Amino acid sequence: MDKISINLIPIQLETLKKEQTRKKILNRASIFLLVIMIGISSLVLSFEIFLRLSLSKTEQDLQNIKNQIADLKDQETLNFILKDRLASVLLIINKDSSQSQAYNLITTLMPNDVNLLAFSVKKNGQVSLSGDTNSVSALNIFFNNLTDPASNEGRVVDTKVENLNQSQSGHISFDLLISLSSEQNKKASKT
Amino acid sequence: MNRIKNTLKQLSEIPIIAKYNALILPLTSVFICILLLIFIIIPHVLIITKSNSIAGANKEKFNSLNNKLTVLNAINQNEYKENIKTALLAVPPEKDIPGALNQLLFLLGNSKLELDSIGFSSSQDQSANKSGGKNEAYQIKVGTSGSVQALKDFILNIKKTPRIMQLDTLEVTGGKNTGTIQASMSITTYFQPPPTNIGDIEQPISSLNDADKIVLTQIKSYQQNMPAVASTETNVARGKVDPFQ
Repeated sequence: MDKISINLIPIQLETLKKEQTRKKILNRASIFLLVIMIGISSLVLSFEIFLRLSLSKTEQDLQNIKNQIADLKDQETLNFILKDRLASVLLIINKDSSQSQAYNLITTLMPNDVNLLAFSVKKNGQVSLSGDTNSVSALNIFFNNLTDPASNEGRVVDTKVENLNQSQSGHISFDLLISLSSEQNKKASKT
Repeated sequence: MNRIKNTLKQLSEIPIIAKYNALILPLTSVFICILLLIFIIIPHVLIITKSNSIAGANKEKFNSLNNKLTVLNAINQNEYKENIKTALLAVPPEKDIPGALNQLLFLLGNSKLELDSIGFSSSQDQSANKSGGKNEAYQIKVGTSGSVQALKDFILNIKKTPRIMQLDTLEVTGGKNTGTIQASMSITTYFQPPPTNIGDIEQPISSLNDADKIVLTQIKSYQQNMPAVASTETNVARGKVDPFQ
C-alpha cells in the first residue's frame, strides 16, 4: 500500500526559499560578470603597457638605425648625386629626337638617282623636302617607299606633293610635304 | 567590523532598501561594469588599435631604413666617385660651352663634314627628372657642308657622344650636281646644376640598377672614342658678376 505524504511546510516558507535561491544565483551572476569585466580591463591595460614598451623599444631601434645611416652620409650623398644625374641622363636619352629619325628615314627611302635639294624638319615631325631626278622609275620607287608602310616602318602618315615639274629633257623636280608620326604615337597605335 | 555590520543591518531595515535588497548587488555590478566599459575598456582598446598601427608603421620604417643601411654599407665610395665623374660627362653641372663646341668640332671632323658656321644661344628647354633635378639646356647652331652620307654619319654619331646632345632642328639644302649638301642644325646641349638637398633621412634609396649600369657603360665607351674633348673642369677665370662695381 502506498504511503501518503503530506507537505506540511508552509507555502510562504517555500516561496521565501525559492526567492533566496534566486537572489543567490543573481548575486553570483553579478559577481561573475564583475570579475569577468575586471579581468578584461586588466588584460586590456596590461596589453597596452606591453604595447607601449614594445613601441618605445621600436622607436629606440629606429633612432639607432637613423644614427647609423647619419654616419653614412657621404655614401648617401654620393648615391643621391649619381642616381639624380643618371635619372637626368635617362630622361634626355628617352626623349624622341624626331629630326634625326626623320632625316635617316627619308634618306633611306630615297633612291640614289634622286637628288636631295632641300630638307627641313619641324618639331612636330613635318618634313619639307625638295629634290630632283632624271629617272622617272627612281621617283616612282621613292613615292612607293613613301606610301608603303612596310618600307617606311609605318612612320609616314601623309605625303603631299606641293610641286612636281618635268622639263622637256626629262628632268623632274619636286617639292614634298611629309607628315611623320612620332615613335610614341607609333608605339601607341601598335598597342 | 561590528560597527559596519550594525550600519548595514540598520540600512537593510530601511523599508525601501529592504524592498529592493535583492537588486542592489546586481545593479551595482552592472553599473561598475558599464563604468569599466566606458572609462577603461573602450578608450584603451582604441589606444591599443592606434598603437598597433603605429607599431606596424614603425616596423615598415625600420625595414626600409634597414634596407637603406644595407645599400649604403655596400657602396664603394671610390667606385661611385668614378661613376659620378662619368655621369657628369654626359650632363655636366655647368654649361661648359667650350667642351660642347670641342665635341661637336671633333664629330664634324670625324664625319668628314666641313664647318661653315657655329654659334650658341640659350634655350628654355627644361625638364625635371624623378628626383626633381632640372635639366637646363642651351642650343648650338651649326652650319655645315658635305655629302649626304657624311651628314647621316654625323647624325648617327651625335647620339654616341659622352656629352649628351640632341638634334633639335635640321635644314638641308643640296648642291644640284656637286653632291654636296649644306645643313644647318640646332643642337640642344644639356647641363644640370648639382643638387643642393639630398632629402630626408627616411627617404628610401636604391642602388644602381641595370639601366643605370648600361648608361654608365655607354658613356664610358663613348668617352673612349672621343678622348679629351669633353671637359668638366670649371676652374676657368670668371668675369665680374657686376661690371660696374
